[in-house]
Amino acid sequence: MAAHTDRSDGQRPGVSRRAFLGTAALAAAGAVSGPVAEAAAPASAPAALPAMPEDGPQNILLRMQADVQRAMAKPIGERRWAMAIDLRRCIGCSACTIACVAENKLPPGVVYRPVLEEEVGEYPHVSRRFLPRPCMQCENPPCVPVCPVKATYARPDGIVEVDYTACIGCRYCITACPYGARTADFGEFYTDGTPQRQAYETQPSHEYGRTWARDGKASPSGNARKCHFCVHRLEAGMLPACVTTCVGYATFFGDMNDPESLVHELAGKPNVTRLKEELGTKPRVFYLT
Amino acid sequence: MLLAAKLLIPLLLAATGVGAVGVWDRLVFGKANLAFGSYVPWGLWVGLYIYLVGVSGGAFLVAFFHYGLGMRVLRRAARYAVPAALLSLGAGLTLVLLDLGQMGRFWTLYTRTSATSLLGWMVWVYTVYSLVLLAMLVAMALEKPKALRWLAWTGLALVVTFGGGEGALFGVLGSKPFWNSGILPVRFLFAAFLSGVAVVTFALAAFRRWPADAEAAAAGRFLRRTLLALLALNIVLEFAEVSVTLYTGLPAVAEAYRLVLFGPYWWLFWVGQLAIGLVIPLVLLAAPSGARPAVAGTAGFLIAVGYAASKQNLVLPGLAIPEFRTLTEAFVHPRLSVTYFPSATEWLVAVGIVAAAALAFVVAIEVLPFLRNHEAWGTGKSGASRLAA
Repeated sequence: MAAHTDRSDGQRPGVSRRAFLGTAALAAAGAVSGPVAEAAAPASAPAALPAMPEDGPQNILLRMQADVQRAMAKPIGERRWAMAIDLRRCIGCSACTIACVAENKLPPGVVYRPVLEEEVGEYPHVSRRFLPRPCMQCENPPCVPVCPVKATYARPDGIVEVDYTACIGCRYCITACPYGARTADFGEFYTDGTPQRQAYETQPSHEYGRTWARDGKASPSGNARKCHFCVHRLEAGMLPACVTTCVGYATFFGDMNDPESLVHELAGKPNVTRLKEELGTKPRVFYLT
Repeated sequence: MLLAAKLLIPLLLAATGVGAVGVWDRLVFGKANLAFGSYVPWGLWVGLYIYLVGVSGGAFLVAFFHYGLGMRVLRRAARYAVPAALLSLGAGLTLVLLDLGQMGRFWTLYTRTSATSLLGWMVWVYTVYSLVLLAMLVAMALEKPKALRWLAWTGLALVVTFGGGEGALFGVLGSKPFWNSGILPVRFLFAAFLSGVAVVTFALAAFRRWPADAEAAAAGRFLRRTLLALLALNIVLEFAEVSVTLYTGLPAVAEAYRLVLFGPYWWLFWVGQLAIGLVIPLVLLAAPSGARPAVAGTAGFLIAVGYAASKQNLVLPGLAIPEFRTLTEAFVHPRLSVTYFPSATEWLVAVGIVAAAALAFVVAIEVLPFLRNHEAWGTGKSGASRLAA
């Protein structure tokens, strides 16, 4: 994988990369020359750690969380949530998928953020690439106008919401989504066919800021379901579950209306692309390639 | 009672009873025993729904020829066409009702209708259309030719609207290259006309309670010519669609057509659509004996079966191509698959609903006096003599 030179990792200017590299080089040298170093230094001597610079490296999660909290202080209509996914950093671990399942208590057959895997090239030049696919929260969402009962709509902050109390489960929106980002809840449970339904399956989810206890019949069972950027977490000032659990810091999130936000910075990179742009849906999920 | 009715009523009763088991399963166990999922979200029921609604529109066309245009030669056919249109519409809408994830909210289709949704508009069109059909039955019973004429023209406008609208439901979806076509609404409309006229032609042959007189012969000739013309028109429209899209060679479309021709449902196209729905009826109708009620009726039955297959062959291949090539492997679950074969529950419900509609039709034409009396009045003046010529 190519080395990053464009600061797409979100580190602010002023970070002492040189100091970091120097420390790393010292550590590597120490590892290689271990026996010599051990012989030269007393075993009980504490390791001398470099002092943390005052404007030192800021954890990008903390920065994005600050971005979210800044956005939440604004009226809803002044926010434009967006996500950026650095495909060079995604290792295909599917931690985001699982975090999403756990956060939203997703039943069998419902998935909001699968990670697509593809093998490219021919032997001996073969590699795998990974593409996490949340809902694109399109600016022109094809799923919205087709709904016969206005149960799905774009919120003022750009998130495309499903009103579980109104959805009739016709699944027209599922066919209309060009990203396959909607799935239907068939009211199933992981332990169907076993003697007892497990407690974890009936734990309520908190999607859209409400409490949804699944019983297999009442909503959201029977409804179309999709990623909503964990809007219930945003309202609590937290990042979406997939962002916080990404082990490679490959997923970024924030307010596109905030020029100071990390996601705004990343969306302006020359290596940004969006899926199926030719359809005119204007996705709010950007991919860095 | 007609011999066909005597034979069919027990069979249809049995089929309806079997179907009731499927409906019970659907109502008690929800969608647990249905085979479709999220990547193939519509299955047998939706394909059958669009087919039955089309049959309704086509059957109405026959009624329109008589009550709207005054073709006296079709007065017997029209009397069967109106209940056939109403019952096939009812069967189609019942299937799609059972398909809803939250059936109890169906009424919100009226109270929360979205002005931007074709589906939302269609619900209203179906409702008005069903009221027109009911009003026509009342007008037929009360012998009100002027009202029937007005209702026939109103109904035709509705048939054209929903006949094309059904195709537009699919055609407007840019997400599905196989469906996304401007010609699809036109194809749907003329396929509807063909399948509906075919069903009425079959019903006339199966439930004939009048002598083989000149009027019956003229009706046979007219329906034969109409079926041949509609078959030809449908061939042209489908050839236009298939040839242009295949020549363009968009991978998603070409892959869908490959599935239609050589995929797991190859038999649906080669046997159902081509042999049963096209070649055999074409041979039967083109033969010198093509206007005989038994021959035309057989051809009508085969066309009706073939076009039911064609609707399945539109719905399923359109959904069988995932939005991304590896989508189905990204998160594995039976509901997240593009392979689909209807479950036993789906088959039972489909058979039961169609059988119930057919049973209601047979009972209606036996019991209701204004449908039973084949020599009842008819509108129109010189249609018979003109068409008989």
